[in-house]
Amino acid sequence: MTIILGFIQLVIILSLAPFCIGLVRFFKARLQGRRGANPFLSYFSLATLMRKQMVISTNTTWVFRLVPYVVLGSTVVLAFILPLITFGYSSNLFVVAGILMIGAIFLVFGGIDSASAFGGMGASREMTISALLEPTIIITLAGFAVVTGTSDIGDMVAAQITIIQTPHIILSIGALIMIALSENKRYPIDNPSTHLELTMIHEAMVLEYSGPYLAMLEFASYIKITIFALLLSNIIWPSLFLLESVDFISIATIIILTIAKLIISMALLAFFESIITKIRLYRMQEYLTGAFLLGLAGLVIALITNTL
Amino acid sequence: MSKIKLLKYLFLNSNLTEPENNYKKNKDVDLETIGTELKTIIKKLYNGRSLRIRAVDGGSTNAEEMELIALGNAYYDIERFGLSFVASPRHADMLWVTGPVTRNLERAVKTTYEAAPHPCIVVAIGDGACTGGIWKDSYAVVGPVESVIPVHIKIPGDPPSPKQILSVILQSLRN
Amino acid sequence: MNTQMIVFLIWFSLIGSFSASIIALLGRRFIIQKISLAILSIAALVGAISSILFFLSAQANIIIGSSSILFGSVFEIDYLSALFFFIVNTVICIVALFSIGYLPLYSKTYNLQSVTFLMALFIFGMQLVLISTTPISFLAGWEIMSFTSLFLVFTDKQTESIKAGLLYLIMTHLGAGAILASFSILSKGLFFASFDEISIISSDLSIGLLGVTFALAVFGFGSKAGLWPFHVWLPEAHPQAPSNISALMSGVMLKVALYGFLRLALSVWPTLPTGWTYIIIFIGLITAVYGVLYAVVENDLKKILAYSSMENLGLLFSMVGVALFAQSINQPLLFTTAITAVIIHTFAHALFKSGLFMGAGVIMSQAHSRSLEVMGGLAHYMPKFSGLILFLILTAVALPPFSGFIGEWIFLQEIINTIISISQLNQGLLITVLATFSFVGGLSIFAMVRMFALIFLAGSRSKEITHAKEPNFLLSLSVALTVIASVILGLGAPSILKIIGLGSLTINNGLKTSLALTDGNYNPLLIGSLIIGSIILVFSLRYIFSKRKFERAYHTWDCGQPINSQMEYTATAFSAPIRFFFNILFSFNKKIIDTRIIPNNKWMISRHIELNRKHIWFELFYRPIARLTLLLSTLVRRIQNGIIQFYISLIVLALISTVFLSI
Repeated sequence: MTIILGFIQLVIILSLAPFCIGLVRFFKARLQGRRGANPFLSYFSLATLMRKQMVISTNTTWVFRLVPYVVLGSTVVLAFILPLITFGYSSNLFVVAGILMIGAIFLVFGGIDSASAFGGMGASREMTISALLEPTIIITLAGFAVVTGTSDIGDMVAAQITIIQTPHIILSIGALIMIALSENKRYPIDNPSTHLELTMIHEAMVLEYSGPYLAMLEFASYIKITIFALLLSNIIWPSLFLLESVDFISIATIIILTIAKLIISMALLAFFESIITKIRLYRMQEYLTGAFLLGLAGLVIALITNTL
Repeated sequence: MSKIKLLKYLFLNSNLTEPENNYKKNKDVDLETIGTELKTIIKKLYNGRSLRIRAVDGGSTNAEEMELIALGNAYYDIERFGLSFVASPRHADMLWVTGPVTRNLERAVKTTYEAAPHPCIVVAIGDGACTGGIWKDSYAVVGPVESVIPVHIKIPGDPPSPKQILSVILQSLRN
Repeated sequence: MNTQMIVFLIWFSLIGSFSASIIALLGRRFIIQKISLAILSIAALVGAISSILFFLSAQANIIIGSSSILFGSVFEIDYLSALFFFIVNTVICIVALFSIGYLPLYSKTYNLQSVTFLMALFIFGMQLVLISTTPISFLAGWEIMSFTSLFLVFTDKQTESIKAGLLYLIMTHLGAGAILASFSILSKGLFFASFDEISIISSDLSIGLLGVTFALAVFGFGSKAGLWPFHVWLPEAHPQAPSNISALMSGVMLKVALYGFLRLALSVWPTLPTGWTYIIIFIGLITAVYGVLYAVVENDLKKILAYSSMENLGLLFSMVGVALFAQSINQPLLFTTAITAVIIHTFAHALFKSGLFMGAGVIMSQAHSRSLEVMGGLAHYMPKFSGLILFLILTAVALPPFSGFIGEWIFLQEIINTIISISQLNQGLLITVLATFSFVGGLSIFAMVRMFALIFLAGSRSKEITHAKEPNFLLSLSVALTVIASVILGLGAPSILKIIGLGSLTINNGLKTSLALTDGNYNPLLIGSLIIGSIILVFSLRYIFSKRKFERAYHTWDCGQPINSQMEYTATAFSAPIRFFFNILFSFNKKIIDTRIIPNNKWMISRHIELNRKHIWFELFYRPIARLTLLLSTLVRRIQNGIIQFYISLIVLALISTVFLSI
């Protein structure tokens, strides 16, 4: 049963992911006073890329071709096991952190393998941020684990903790939001629509990819942002409405609910991105340390309130 | 109250941006395209619903670049037509080449075309790119873009206005 | 029957490795060294099999025999030593196989006969340490191990190696002295008593003396294992040895040091006070952080691996510390899990680190350099081999579902499970452990990924790389064996624990514990199949959506100006952000040096940057000690004035004072 639910979740997430990124672009355009592209445009972008030729650099090795499959594969695993639409499937927090890291590592390999300085630069930055984000992810999720008494993220969501019952969870949620922003390379870590190679992080690593491979890497980043948006909304607003049985009405409701969650979270993201600026790379440590301290404070206060 | 007004202005009205039909039904543009090849390419790319553009400077005066930058603002808003500028020719479906190709930039234009995955639409923007303009037959210039890489769409003007550029591109994509 | 079989196999293994060293002395021809190494490999295999049989027989301990040379010391194998005997022998078997293929490549640099002889003796020493039950035989084995490894560091006779070897000599013998002192205090001078007897003898030691033995043991075993602040020799000596020996030193010898400490902690000492366990934990954590930070910024391939060994040993020792801590605050579940994690991570580290060192040997034989700056693009020329190394790297960076992940996972998971139910000071400790482990984990990913990417990917930065070829069958096979063993250990950890969990670990105060997973949620096989399954899913989806193989090769996008491999991102550049963020710990010195091209024109200058790293710890801690020693010895030299009568009077004084002291 959980496996069937997992597959339903996977299919819904995969089909909504391009819409999700289209939404954030749409909202951002509107906040800039533009009309903006159709939110469904990303589907056509991916389809167009899938039809195109690939140009592969002669300097690349076999790892270059492996990268898109592993990156997309690791996000697909996350879309399968995390509690996004259902209660998920064996999503231990260490495993989730590890699988996130697998995607990051292979992306870094892809960046270096392109043999251009831009790729290497993006790879170096991505690796730094992912490496320094690792303790934050684990400490923050450990904070949730202490509050809910379980290390499985699915059970954490199922535990229905609310900010009203345990107000200190807001610290961990804050840290989780900071993690989500930097994992997805959004503002203030990276500007996702930059054309300036010297300021790029994520984009610099995929500069050499084209055609279907590029489509896969972009799709993976779309899925990742969808996953984080849904996970955060499930934790912030404990969802009583996660899918537990397979019938038409509940699936239809859950799809509508998911779209509503995505619209709200993407509108908030677009609003947030419109009011702040990107931070300099060498000030990234302040952001990352801040996130870590927030997560640590969440864990410590959770422990103190637990013993009281 | 003013915030609500702003949000209403941003999300419900679209006063600033020019309506689409100004471009699609704009008669006073001289369309010069290479018919059949362009048609097959566009058909392959899902009728050009979502195209990524790589702008290449082949030695222009930067006048064209100013116009291209203007395309991204709220008034013209190129993104609503599914067109967007990208940072690498590997991602591009379209190359927008400006300026007569100078000898120093000949390699740049050629390699960009080679680096872009095919099918790739090449657009020559401005008089310099179409014919060589006032630099035609100069010793420092190789010639129009055509003499270096195949061109599918030409947009004359020195420089062409953003409206002209958008009209030509949209009409040739949607035909 | 079964017992006799095990005894026979262990004897076979011991005699095999000893006779291998004798055979190596017989002649200079390489065929003889080959035979010797083959015997060594078989002996180690037999040793590994014998310990598996021991686990299956579920006996507490088996006496193997006794030796009259070592004053009637008894050799026996019990649960703890069998675990380490298995790990050590498995790795030795693979490394000996590797050496057969590897040593001929360096027949000009090294004296093969002496390398083989010393290697076999080195291995014999380690086996002896693991099965001895008395301090005397333990130390005998320990000294054989130390001395042979010392000479192995010297083998290429370079100045650098001799310097590193001397540093190693000093540290390892100070350490051995400390261990000796620790044992003699514990056994009250009875060197021939077995560890179990020592445990009884030492039970009435005052807490102060126990503290002294604790400090001495931490120094003794810690200096061998490369723990901070006794680590200085490790990153110098390990890389200087031939790569197969580095593999043994990092993969096996460090584990023997860990075994020694575990032996003392589990079967000799009584339950330690909580405060003391804090010391082990913090030393371990500092070592891990120190090691991983230097692994990130280092450009020398083998030094990166040596620093990474330091990091892993730091993690292992803090796991041991947490286990002892759990014992002292009476949390048996955490104790069991931590010890289980120690064993699994020890095995995982022994496998991947020896695999990586062997890989480094192969890479160096092709690239003729140890510097990451001149490598790059090796995957073009040795694709299969780079695939093997990729697996080892993924194991080393502790990612699911590989074996490096399992140990850390069960350990950290149990910490999160336990943390709620203990006092607040101890909660603080466990939070520190949790945070540091994940911090170190993140940075070790950085170090390993950087190493792999800059060696194997992109274009090649030197001519030597373009002549690189796939290594011969034996070399690939032995690296592949470590990969296979790592994957099996990673995916099958729960089932492997079921087999070795049959026996149980006897702890000092008669308690028994068996290695087991306390939580049923660990299912690496499931994670592995999910990841593989989704990659296959993605693969097939990609071919459904775009069937045609429609691609074209063209050079890297260069923005219109030709680029070459010299413009790729370098190893130094890659670690720049980390160097910047943690500069306070590294104290890097960046110097821009201007040289005028035309002497009297100050505008035309060529510039180059020098990046110097100060070894802060060496400057702060070792330099003053060295100065002090030098000062003291100049003072002492005044006594040495060359007058015989003076010396005789000194001897008389010494004798008289001894007599007074003994009265």
